[in-house]
Amino acid sequence: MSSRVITPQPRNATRERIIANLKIKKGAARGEKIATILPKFIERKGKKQRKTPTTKFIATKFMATEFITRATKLSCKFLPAAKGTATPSVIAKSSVATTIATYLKSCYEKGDNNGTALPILIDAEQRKTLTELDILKKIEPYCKLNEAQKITDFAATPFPPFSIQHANYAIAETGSLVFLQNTRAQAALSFLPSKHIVLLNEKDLLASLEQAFARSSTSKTYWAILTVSGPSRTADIEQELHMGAHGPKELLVILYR
Amino acid sequence: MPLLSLSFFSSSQGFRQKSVAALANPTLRAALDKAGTGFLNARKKAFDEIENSSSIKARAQQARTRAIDNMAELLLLFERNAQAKGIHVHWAETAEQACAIIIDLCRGKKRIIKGKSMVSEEINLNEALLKNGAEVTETDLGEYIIQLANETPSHIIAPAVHKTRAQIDALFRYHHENIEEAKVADNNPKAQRTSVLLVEEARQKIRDKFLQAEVGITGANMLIATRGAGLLLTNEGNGDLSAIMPQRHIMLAGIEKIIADDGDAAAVLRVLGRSASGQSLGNYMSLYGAQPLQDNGKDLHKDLHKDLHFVLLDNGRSKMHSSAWREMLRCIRCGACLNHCPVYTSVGGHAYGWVYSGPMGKVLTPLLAETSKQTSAQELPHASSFCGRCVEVCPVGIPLTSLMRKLRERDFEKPLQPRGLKTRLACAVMRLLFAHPRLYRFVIACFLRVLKLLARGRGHISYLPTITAWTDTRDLPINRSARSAIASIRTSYPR
Ligand code: SF4
Repeated sequence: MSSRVITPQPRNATRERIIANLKIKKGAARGEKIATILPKFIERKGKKQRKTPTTKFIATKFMATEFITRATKLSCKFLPAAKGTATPSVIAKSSVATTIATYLKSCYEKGDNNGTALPILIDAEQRKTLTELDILKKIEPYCKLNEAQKITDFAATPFPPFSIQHANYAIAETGSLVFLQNTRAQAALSFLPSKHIVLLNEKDLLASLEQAFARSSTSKTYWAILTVSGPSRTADIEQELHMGAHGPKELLVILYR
Repeated sequence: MPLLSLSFFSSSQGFRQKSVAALANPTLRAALDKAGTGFLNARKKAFDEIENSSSIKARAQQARTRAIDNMAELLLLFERNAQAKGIHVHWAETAEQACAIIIDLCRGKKRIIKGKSMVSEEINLNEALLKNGAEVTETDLGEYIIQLANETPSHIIAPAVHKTRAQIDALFRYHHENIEEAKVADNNPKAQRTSVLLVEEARQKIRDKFLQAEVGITGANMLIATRGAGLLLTNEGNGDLSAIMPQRHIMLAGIEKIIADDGDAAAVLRVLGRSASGQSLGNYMSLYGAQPLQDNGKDLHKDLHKDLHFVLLDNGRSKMHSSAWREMLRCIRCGACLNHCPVYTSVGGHAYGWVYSGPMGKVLTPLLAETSKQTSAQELPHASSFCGRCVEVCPVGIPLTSLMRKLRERDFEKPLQPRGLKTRLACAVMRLLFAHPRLYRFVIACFLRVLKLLARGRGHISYLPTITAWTDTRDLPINRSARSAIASIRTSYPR
């Protein structure tokens, strides 16, 4: 209630004028009348959505394959890197930690941070999840962990090299990863680092955009929903496609079950 | 003087003069040729690879139609839901009002970053903010380039499509201090840099701005009424960084961006990315103020959304709603009609004189600019061959050509300039001919005989005195015998 008091409508007259213009004039009305559908909008929450054609029917069994195909097309890389032309596959939960560790070790040995420990950003709220997967211990020898707390913390490191995040769920239809974010600092983890490493549980794969929207409605409080499909890209200079416009240059996904 | 008209139709030239100049500009032609078929192929591939593209487009159109038919109620629902979460909703009737609201929100804050927003170009926001002493940085690479060049966007999706790499390189060299020489291609400071280097340089320069920004202004691709949230679709991630990094986030959107619910939003998203650039979604799709409304208003973390502001702009849209051009409000600004337009791809976006170009601009500009009584906008709907490609590709089925025709009709009925003698005479003759079929047949038959005579032996005419504008660039084929042409007139206009 209090919010209504805090945010009064200073330009009420303007709103009334705009709305009055928009009221359906006689003869102009076409399609469904809101009088009948408005109650439906509100009650539909949590109920079954109206049937909508999706781009493709995806059986649960093929969800992971479809996601991998889509995401690969969007220039996502999967870990562990598949050999040759083999398609990446879902790995066991127990080997997640080793996979990340192997990857970071190779970066470390390549001298990505001039031979010193790689600074890695993680989400403070996800520390527990990452510990459960035994990741933090395994990567310790090569890395220096930092937690993203406040947005102002980034001022010191404008170009953080790595971040590790666990996706809330993913959409097979579009090959997208979905994050429900509580704070701005959490959200920045998906955008500021050059390499964004994302963990995804196979059971969190959803078939369509509608399912993703519906799933987000059942979740806890959050500030924003971020849907990430591939590394940041631009084609603004002569239509040449380049990765890493403002966001990550590489998006690495680990799909486990 | 309304702010709108300052940059709007700043030059006295109309579409005709500007397009002639554009056609004679070799650099522009090179840039447009480069852009060429890329967009078209990407879009085609994206729609070909899905199984049921026609029903997907039909569903998107239905979603947009529902939104427009119920706009008033949905906007109020949107406002109520947003306010329940502590989000601020501001209404602006005109461009000046919208600028005033945003200037007010930026009071005492200097560093402002912007994600790409065509509405902000529409209201000329940058100029208004700069006048108030703020420092504004565009963060979309295309917008950044044209900001440095002090130009306006020439395409709603790719604002700098008219610039070549050489021009961009020169711009960056001029505006960026201490470019690291090592980063210059082949260590040769004079060599033109590759686009990778240019993208990297812009990334470095703009990152600083992100970190210091106090206010972020972005557009919104949709406003979801049942959620009271704004949806933003970007490829570079600049829109999201503009939203996340500063304390205050302002989302500026036209009122027609409203959409009923999640399902409708998903339906539109399916066609939006595909039509725009052939992507299945677009790299980053974010919902701000997304938190669902819990029952009875419990569990609401109002603090989360305290500094999110929606500015809803009317600027002529509500008037369109009850006019014959209401269908135009369905537009989702995908840019497909621009990419497929033979006029746009030849003359580029600047010839249209305003932010909205191509076929959609030919309808929108005269309608939105109506209040400013500018005649050069009224010229736009006449600059079309009505080939109809835009209608074919529009994902939400907007009949652009018939909307343009209606604009032409309106112009004829209420001309902003007095009709010339030539026009009046031509109309009188046409009326006479159309009302008398016999006379019509006779005149046309004579006309065809004359043409046949002129084309003798060649099968085409390459010069005709009164219509040189046409014959200068094309030949008129006359290969049927006049007799058969006359016969076909007989059958199509029976006595
Ligand atoms: S008119 Fe249609 S094709 Fe053109 S931008 Fe709007 S939605 Fe896209």
